[in-house]
Amino acid sequence: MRRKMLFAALMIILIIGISGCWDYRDINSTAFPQLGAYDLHEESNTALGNLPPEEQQIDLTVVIPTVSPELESKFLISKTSGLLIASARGQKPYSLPGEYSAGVASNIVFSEALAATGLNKVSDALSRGALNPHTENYSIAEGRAETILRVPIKDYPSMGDYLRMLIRSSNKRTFMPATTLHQFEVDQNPGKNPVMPLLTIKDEKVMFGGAAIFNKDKMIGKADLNETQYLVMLRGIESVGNLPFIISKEDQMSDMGSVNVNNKRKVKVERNGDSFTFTITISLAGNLAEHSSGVLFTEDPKLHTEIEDQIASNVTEGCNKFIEKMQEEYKVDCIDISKYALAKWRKELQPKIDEGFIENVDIKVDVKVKLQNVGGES
Amino acid sequence: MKDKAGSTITTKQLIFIIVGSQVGIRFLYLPREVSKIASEDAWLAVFLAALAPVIIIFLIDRLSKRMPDMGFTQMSQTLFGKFLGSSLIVLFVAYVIAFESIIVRIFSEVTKLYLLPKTPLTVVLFMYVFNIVYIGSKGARVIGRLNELLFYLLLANFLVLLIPLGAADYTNLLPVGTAGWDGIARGTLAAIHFYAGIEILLVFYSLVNRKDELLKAGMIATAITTALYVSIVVICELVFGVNGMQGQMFPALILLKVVQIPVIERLEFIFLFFWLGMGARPAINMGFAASLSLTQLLKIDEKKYLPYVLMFVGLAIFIIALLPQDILSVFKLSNYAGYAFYVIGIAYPLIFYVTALARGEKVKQNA
Amino acid sequence: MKKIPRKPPTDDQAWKEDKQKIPETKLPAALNEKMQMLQPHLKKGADIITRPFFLQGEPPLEAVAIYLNKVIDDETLNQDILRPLMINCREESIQDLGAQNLMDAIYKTSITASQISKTNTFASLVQTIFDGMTVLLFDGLEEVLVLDIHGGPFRAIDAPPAEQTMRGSREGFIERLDINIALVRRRLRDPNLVVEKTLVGRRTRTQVAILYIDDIADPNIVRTLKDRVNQMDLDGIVASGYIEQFIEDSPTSIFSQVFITERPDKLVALLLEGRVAIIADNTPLSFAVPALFVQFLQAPEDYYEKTFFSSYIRILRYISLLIAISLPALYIALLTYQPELIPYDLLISFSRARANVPFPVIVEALIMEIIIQMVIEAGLRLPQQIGQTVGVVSGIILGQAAISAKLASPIVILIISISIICTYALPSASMVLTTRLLRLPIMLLAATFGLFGIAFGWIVVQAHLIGLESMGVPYFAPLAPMRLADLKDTFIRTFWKKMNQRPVSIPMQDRKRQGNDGKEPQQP
Repeated sequence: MRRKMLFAALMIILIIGISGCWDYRDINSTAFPQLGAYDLHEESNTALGNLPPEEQQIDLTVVIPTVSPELESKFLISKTSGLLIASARGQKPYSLPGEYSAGVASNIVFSEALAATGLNKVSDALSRGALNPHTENYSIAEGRAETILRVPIKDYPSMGDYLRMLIRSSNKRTFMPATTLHQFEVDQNPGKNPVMPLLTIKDEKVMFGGAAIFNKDKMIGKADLNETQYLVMLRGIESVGNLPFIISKEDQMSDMGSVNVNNKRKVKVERNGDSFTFTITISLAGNLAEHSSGVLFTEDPKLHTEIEDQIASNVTEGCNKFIEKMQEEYKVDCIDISKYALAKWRKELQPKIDEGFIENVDIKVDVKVKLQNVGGES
Repeated sequence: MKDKAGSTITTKQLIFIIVGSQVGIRFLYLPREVSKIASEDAWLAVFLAALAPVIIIFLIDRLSKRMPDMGFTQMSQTLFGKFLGSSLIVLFVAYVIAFESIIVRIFSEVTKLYLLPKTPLTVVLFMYVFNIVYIGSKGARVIGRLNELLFYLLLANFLVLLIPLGAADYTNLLPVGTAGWDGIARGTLAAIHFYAGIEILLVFYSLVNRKDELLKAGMIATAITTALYVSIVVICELVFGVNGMQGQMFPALILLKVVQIPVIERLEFIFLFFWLGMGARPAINMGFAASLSLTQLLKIDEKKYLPYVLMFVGLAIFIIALLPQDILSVFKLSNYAGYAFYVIGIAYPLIFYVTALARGEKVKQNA
Repeated sequence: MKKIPRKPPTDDQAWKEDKQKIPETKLPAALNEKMQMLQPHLKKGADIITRPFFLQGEPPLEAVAIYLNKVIDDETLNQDILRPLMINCREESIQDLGAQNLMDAIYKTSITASQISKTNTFASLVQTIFDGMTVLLFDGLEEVLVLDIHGGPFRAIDAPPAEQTMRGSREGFIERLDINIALVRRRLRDPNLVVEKTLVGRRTRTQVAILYIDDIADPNIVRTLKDRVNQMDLDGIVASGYIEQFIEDSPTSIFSQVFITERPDKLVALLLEGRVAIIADNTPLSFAVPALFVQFLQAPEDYYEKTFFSSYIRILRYISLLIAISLPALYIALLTYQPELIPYDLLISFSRARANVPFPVIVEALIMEIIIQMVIEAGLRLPQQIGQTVGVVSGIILGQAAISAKLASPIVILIISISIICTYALPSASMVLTTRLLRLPIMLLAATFGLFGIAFGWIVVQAHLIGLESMGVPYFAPLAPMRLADLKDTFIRTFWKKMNQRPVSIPMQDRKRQGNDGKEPQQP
């Protein structure tokens, strides 16, 4: 009797199964966007949608690779507009065949203008979607994000591939921050602020142009490539990069070259009543990539330390300049040091950490450079 | 282990049954709930809340030593007389069924959210309930063994959760004591809800073949559960920070989305594979406990009728799980169930024990 | 033609009498009376030979030898039975020979064949004739002599076709029960090895031998097994497979609860672990109970090679079991329900590969799966000469043709082939069959519910396995009731010196099997 009931239950499952596979979607007909560009709405006739004008606030442009091998172009671009991101996505089925799978886009580019109005409202759709990973890379575009997308590209299958590879491990190849959705969200916590890489178009090529500084979710400033280096070192993002140096003695250049180093930092905070002092120790360790003077290291041991000192002083100078700019112009903690103060005095500081804290503290920078290796030649 | 008597489980299996009944779907939102009240000290609150199950185990152990060979139903009827005893049992069974329905419903909701958005809720619920009925109908020994196996899988799963520690930030935990005694105390109260599941020890202890090791088994089980809970709270705090967690429904699941590993880019892949076993376990154990109590209550032969009682229980779970309208009311209900845990989990063993003490000699003669 | 009615003529008296059992009457002394009683039975078999002869001596004693043609060894019959009786016997008187009566004199002194017994009932006389024994009927003696001189042609001992091994004996069982038992005895010379014979099947009267080692095997298991075999009441068995299905605990399960082997060395290893074996006549297979799930993933070479090689291969086998069952289902589930879980580059290349295939993924996978299963079945039945060719043709050409015709994407063919290869990497034929069957429902579940369906299927299978018992022993030990001591022989195979206890998952009497307890022998 029990067997019969078991059998009946199995039959029910089978019938249910056959009667409807509700979530079935075939991979052929699914569109997988690689790259998304979010902009503030602009009147043009390339945006498709049927919403009334007041509900069109965001433009969503995506790059979708094509699957059919007979087609000449490897991707297609689709742009729609809507109230926010998900409503813009909701307009896609009117012009884009197939299921739209939003969970695989690996790069999102926001426009400057949109970032200045606050990104939380557009990031909400991405983090609420259950199938999205939180490892999508965010970046900011100078100008409209759409133009970045539409830059013609010959050396790579699509702009999506190019940007994906460019941004994905940017912080492992040079001093450039890489922000993911998760990082962006975590950086909304008290005392933290996100930074994102900045993309510009130069000579019809898309490239990094620096970093964007944020106050919580609104963008407030840009740093150029040079400043971004120091930002990364101060912020403690562990990267690897190349630093050039010029040593001059008696106003004459005696040596020039560059080093490949990776950076680490340590932060200490001391309190004196109401005033706080942060000491940031940046350690750069690496090896010499090249130098021009031809002097052998085995003959002149001082050259080693000279190079190290020169680099240390370059970096210290740059960092101090950046800190000044941060405290006077930006007035937000973009180097992520308030958390050390919170770690010690959280209850007291948390309510006011985001207003008027960072500009009144004393920040000291200490740079140590260690060249472990001088390469194969002596 | 060759005896076909059907209803004995070893001490080790008891440990795994207890752990299996406590650690289920609810540990996914445990960090969020507790850190809302206790902020950075959530882990401390969870750790302190382990005191409650310890007390319960202690009480049950003493109780079982007084009346070693009685099942839960028999004991209740002996202590309180037939009418009151039976109604206590009925209340217990109702509690277990309601609890199970909530668990099954939350589980189905999460499955629908992450895996099968368009499949109707009834179908997903049916698959869970089918599992409960099928596995429960095989008897206590199989449940013991299954819990054992699933426990090891749970451990393997848990190791996967350690991978996001690469993105951890230790300053999120400091300083200790921010919440103050008040916050920690309230957090502990909230955390006690999550240890619910231990009360089925009341039903299972009569099935253990070595009753003297009950206390030891209970302690080990509580230790394991506490370790798991504390670790998940710590990991979530480290990776998200207290404020970050509040914005997410199920922090422990989002944990898997934050990093990428080289070949299998998405960690959820591994986790979701073992998903069903993990989540269904509390429901299976509870379903079995409820059915066993019912068979003892109605005085029908366990072997023959257990599958039918289980089917009835399964149907009840199915219907009740369909009642709430949306996930938020389910969370509210789960809070109520947590309060019910205070009553059934703590008050029941206490009342039973006190009554057993009071009727001391008479009971021993009857036993 | 006249129509043959389907129902037998039930009121036909002759037909009914035919169905009577053979009566158990005592045999008369006179020879011609005995022959008369036997006549209706002898009529039925044209291959029953009756050879009348006279025993040598005064007065001449008439005797008849009855036997089945070619079932007995003619040489023995002639030299050891007929010749001494006809030529050499009865030269001395009975008392000189020291025998009680004539019968003793005849068979204890004259007949030089080795296996002799006496019988005096009619039923056993008839049965022994048809069992292949030679019977000697004497005039004036009530008892008849039954001699077992089985012979006749039979297959030579050959390498077992289904369980090849590179290193190990190449002898496999053949159809003769006695020779099979001899093969076991040669390897296991313990005096405690018990061999019990019974007959199974009312009409086939097949001899079945039950073997176990007396002081190791658990007496409960032996008793249960014997009871179940004796309860088998059916017309006949043709192969031991019939017995398996009667004595299994759950014949409805797709997992086999007895362990089949064709090799005597494997059987001896099983007996040494405390199991009970059954060998049936006319079947070159034997099987042992209780069986555990992990056994089906162990091969005899594992014990002949070094630890590291064996452990590596064992782990590979477990992985291939998982792959064999889940890979096609995983492919279906990922591609149709959770494409977000696939790494992006793989995703695009899968999409491109499937671009022109008109079928949905599930149909594609099912078609290829069924085609491959049919190819396998065809390969089993084909004669050897064309078997190879068809295998190659169907494999390569079918696959290529399907891809070119855009009926399947290359990936699905790759996946199905990998899972088939993994299926056949398993060392036990029963597990291969189980896997072949188990794949389909899991694929269907994956097609309906995606990853959740696969998880659901696995849980149901696991629960089923955990609840399964083989002769009362939990099937999934040492994994489900976790027996740590046995784990050293499950996923890996530790050093022989450390395996000094018999498996704890099987109930038995004596656990120790090595004297040194895993330690190095003491230095002198």
